[in-house]
Amino acid sequence: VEMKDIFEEPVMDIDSCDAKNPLAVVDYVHNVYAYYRKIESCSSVSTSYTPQQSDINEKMRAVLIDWLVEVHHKFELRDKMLFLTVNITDRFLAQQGVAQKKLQLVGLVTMLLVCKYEEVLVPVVDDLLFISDKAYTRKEVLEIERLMLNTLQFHMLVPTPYVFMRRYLKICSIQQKLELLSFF
Amino acid sequence: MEKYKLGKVIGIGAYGIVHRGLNLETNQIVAIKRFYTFDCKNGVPYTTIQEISMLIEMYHINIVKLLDVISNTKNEWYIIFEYLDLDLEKYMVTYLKDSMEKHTIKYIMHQILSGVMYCHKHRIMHRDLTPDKLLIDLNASVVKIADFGMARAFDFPLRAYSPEVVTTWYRAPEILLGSPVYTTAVDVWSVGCIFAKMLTRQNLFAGASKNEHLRKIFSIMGTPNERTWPGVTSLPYYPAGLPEYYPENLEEFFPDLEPAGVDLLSEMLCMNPARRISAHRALQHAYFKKKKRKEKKEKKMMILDPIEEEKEEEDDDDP
Repeated sequence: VEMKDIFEEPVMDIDSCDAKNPLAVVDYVHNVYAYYRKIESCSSVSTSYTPQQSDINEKMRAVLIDWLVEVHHKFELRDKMLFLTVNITDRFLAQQGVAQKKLQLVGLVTMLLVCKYEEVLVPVVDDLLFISDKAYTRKEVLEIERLMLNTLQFHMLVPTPYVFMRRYLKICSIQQKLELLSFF
Repeated sequence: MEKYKLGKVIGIGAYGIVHRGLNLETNQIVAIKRFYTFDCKNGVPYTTIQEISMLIEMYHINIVKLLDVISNTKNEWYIIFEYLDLDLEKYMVTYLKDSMEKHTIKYIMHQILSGVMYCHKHRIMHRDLTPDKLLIDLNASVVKIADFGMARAFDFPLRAYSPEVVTTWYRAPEILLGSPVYTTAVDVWSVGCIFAKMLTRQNLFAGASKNEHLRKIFSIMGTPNERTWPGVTSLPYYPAGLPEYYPENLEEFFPDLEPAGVDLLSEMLCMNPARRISAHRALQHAYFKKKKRKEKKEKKMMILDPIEEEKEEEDDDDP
């Protein structure tokens, strides 16, 4: 108990400066982050899921993610959404075998789901079919969408590294330049 | 859907129809929400995704339980909920001829606030709390928050969300005034309005139009100014030329309410959202503290005593 006392004293209350800013929701910030910590373990995937896939490997996943980053930029989506897209793609791939030629489709549909979830209604199915160079049909997109939602059982609201990073950055009271850099 | 039998329609909302239904395997009566599919071209509607992804992780006695999600190849989605036959609106109209018992009101308020606090702690704003979204299980005397069709998960710090939320009479002043951002405090305001409605059976702030509604709020709670609510006069819909109302004494509106209740109500209906009490602090308010002697008598009358049971329930969520 004594040790604890010594350690706790110098902890700065990083939320006190926000007490007057209702947007920081100071009342609940601790609860929400505690909850994030709690569900973090079930919402992240092990780094070595690719061997379970017969048709795709780590390299292909990397190519897919690179492409998603590019698409993400093109649609000017928020940073947070990229993290969520990657998380959902990985969680889906860890549970479902996917053929190599369908891999891009999975990426596309994840992006669609994240946009729907975040109420950014810009890329509609037509846009996605267009950027994939019409490699897939609408029917395929809708089928995979349903499969993904059922596979992930609608667990969409997961904490990503992004939300934790935001909190760490706040603790360090860092400059904006470094903040932007940290999200790479 | 082979597992369930669709029964009569029990509710129609902006995004779907709610049916009464029967689980053919267990003979359990359920509520089945069927979403409209306006747009078959773009797959699952985003409202469906949002509502289900939020409800799926909520486990709380005062929040309606999601039992199952079913979809078919025609891209029709059904959510199966536990069925409760009554909502607070109907309860007030049909079961209570004149006024509600004081301890019943307190007891219902405690449950609503517990549910709201649980949502807020799990970064979810309901954004549309009204008496008809609060379901009542008479047998177990439990109140449950339902219909998360308007709800949203938020992030820190909050960003701007859609202003068209919450049925008008329960809408918080910051939304009415067009504030680009709002917080969990909008839910507390709605609960405050529901509290007032239970006390008098009338809407405290009922106005035919948005402006009329704002005027009504100002005439009771006082016209907000830069001193009571910094920044209020620069909000988009801050009405020019309204008289400077002084805050009324809420006691006069609720003569039967104990002083602690009046105090809690005034804290929940605080105009400035930054100063409005949070659900968490509201639950610790003196209004919910029990008086020692009365307690024993009341206990026998009530089937279930939530005020003692629900001290800390953050730990019962299981993702």
